[in-house]
Amino acid sequence: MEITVPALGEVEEVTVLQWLKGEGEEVEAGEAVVEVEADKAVFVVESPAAGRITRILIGAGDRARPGQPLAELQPP
Amino acid sequence: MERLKPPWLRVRAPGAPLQLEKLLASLKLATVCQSAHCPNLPTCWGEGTATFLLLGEVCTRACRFCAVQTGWPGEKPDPQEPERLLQAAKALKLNHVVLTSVDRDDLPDGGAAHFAACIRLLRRELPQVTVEALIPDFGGQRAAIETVVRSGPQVVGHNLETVRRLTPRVRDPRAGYDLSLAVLKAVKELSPDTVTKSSLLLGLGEREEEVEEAILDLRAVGTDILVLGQYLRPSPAQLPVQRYLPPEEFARWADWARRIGFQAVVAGPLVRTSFRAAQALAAVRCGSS
Repeated sequence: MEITVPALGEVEEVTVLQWLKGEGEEVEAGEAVVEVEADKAVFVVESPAAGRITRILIGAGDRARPGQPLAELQPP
Repeated sequence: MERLKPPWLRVRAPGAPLQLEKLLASLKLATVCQSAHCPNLPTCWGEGTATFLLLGEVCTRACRFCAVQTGWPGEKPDPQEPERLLQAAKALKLNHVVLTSVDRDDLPDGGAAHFAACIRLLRRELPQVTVEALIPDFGGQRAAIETVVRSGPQVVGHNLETVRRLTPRVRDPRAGYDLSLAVLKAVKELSPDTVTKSSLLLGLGEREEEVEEAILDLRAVGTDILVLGQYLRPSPAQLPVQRYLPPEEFARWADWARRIGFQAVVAGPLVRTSFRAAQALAAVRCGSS
């Protein structure tokens, strides 16, 4: 399972501002895990399910496209 | 990014694909949520609501706050669009459908007949559903405005967008402050029972007394619902934000606007014209906001 950049319509790119959770950390469904910034707002991305973040794919300061995986999540 | 965002422009968003995305793509329906890079998209779509963008995705106007593509489409409206819209409204079980469109100065009626066809079909097939039409100015053609109004939407919106002084700088030269007020006035003259609605974007460099004037002008033409939102630049191609207004400032304007007679006011940094549209209409019908 993956945590992805939220659906943001025709927004082309967002910047990862900061990770609120690190690799190896357990998260609950709906828990805030990462902040990404688009031109209009900052989005606090929530985990779609409970699990452990096994790998962060896009680090702080890097860019990503809507729908792109930001991290891998392993269900419990 | 133009500058650090204030803390009130933080939005929670699910980090997984949304069901609504697939449905809208399969029905080939456009939304202003997508075209405008709306920050509420994850919120609204997560709740199963969207604002449909009719008449294509290319606008004949080039307003400097807006990310919708500018061009001269030259194509006739898609005759299947009303049916697909109906399918979406049914699939999403919408109680309140909000329709808007690009400006179509390339069509003799500005797209009014197509807009009306969409509304008529929704009203006929889903009589329990309320319909809100956020219309362009149709170049001020009263017949076009009448076509939409007579199709029976409960709410007709037309946005003033900004104060008088900034209008030439912010909106397309074919748009106009007085023209927009005339559109709202015409809707009320044609159908006094139709609820009218208009929005102002704040943070474009307007002065307090200019905002006051714009709100008074909207009330003077009988506008029922006032919407005040923060101007947010969709991409570096649009005008920069001059100022981020704190939520308290929106609340002050909202209090004042209610006191001078608006039946409902929706105001806040992340508020857009169709945000909480169903609740705004409910507030008008209950006689409170």
